[in-house]
Amino acid sequence: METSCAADHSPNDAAERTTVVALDQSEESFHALQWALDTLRFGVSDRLVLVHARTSPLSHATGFGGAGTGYILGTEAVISMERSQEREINAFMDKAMELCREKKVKAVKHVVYGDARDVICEEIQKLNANMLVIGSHGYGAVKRTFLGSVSDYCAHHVKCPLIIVKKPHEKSHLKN
Amino acid sequence: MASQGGDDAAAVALVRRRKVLIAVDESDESIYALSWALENLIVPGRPNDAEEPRVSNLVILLHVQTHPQVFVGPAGPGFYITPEIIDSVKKHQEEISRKVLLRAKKLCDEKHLETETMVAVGDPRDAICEAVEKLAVDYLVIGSHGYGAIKRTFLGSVSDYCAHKAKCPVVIVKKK
Repeated sequence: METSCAADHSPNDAAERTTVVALDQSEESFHALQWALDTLRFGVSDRLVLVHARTSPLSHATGFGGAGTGYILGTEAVISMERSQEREINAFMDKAMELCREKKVKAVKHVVYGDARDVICEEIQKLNANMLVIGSHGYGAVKRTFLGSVSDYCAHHVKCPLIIVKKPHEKSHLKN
Repeated sequence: MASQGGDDAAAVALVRRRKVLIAVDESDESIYALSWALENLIVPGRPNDAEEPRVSNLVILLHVQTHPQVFVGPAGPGFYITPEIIDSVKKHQEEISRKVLLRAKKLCDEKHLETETMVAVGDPRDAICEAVEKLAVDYLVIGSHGYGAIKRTFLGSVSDYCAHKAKCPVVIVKKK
């Protein structure tokens, strides 16, 4: 069904191009998506795949209190945590989908369990994506680098073109 | 996003000018990055652009010349750098810049894009990041030689540096 290929082609080509947009709940993430929607030219044969890496609530739970604190989570607790996490995820993913709809860009949601670094790289491979758009948390002037760890990892490991969108701290340099 | 010669109101007739800085050098990766960007990011006339305010793109092609350093060892320089040598090296670099920018500009002209060329001297890492700030570009496109600090990663050192330091979205196109 997908005829997308990683090579470049003319805009009139009917081949579908897939752009993966990595999303989490952060502002940086949404800023990256909005930037892509505003700046890049998405045609009728393009689609965005909004990828969110979801961690199992269990991995958070076992982190509580360290060894031997005796937290035992019953199934109901786990299920309820998963449900509440799902509600949160659906909320921001739906917001993202709405942004795409506003710009009349085809988009689908892929929520996958796992570490963001691996999930993003794997999705790109699976979908044979043409491009990755990823926000960067950046740590500003405090840390040496202005690039978050997930975007840094992806920059090193994906083979497709990628766009790293940092959220500017001051808007002054963007205005003329 | 930089807007030139007009206010930011979403009036249909307004033309927004988007500045894209594309770093080029003699490598094939560089030309590939340029042509990928032209095809996939800057291409005019996408089907769903009809209702959007017209956006024009200005492509700024930047070539960075690295002039060889004069090293003075503990025992003094092993040879004398005469003004003629400096001149000849400079001329050679200018010729390289000319060829590189000509090749790049040709690709842009084929797409009927407004293009400017620019030459900077020094370390490409800093020169590119400085140009980004000085020109207040909307985004930067850079190819990646794909060697990096560790051979198994797919990111070159200049693109890695710019991904960290450039104060605008960075598009990294890796060699095929």
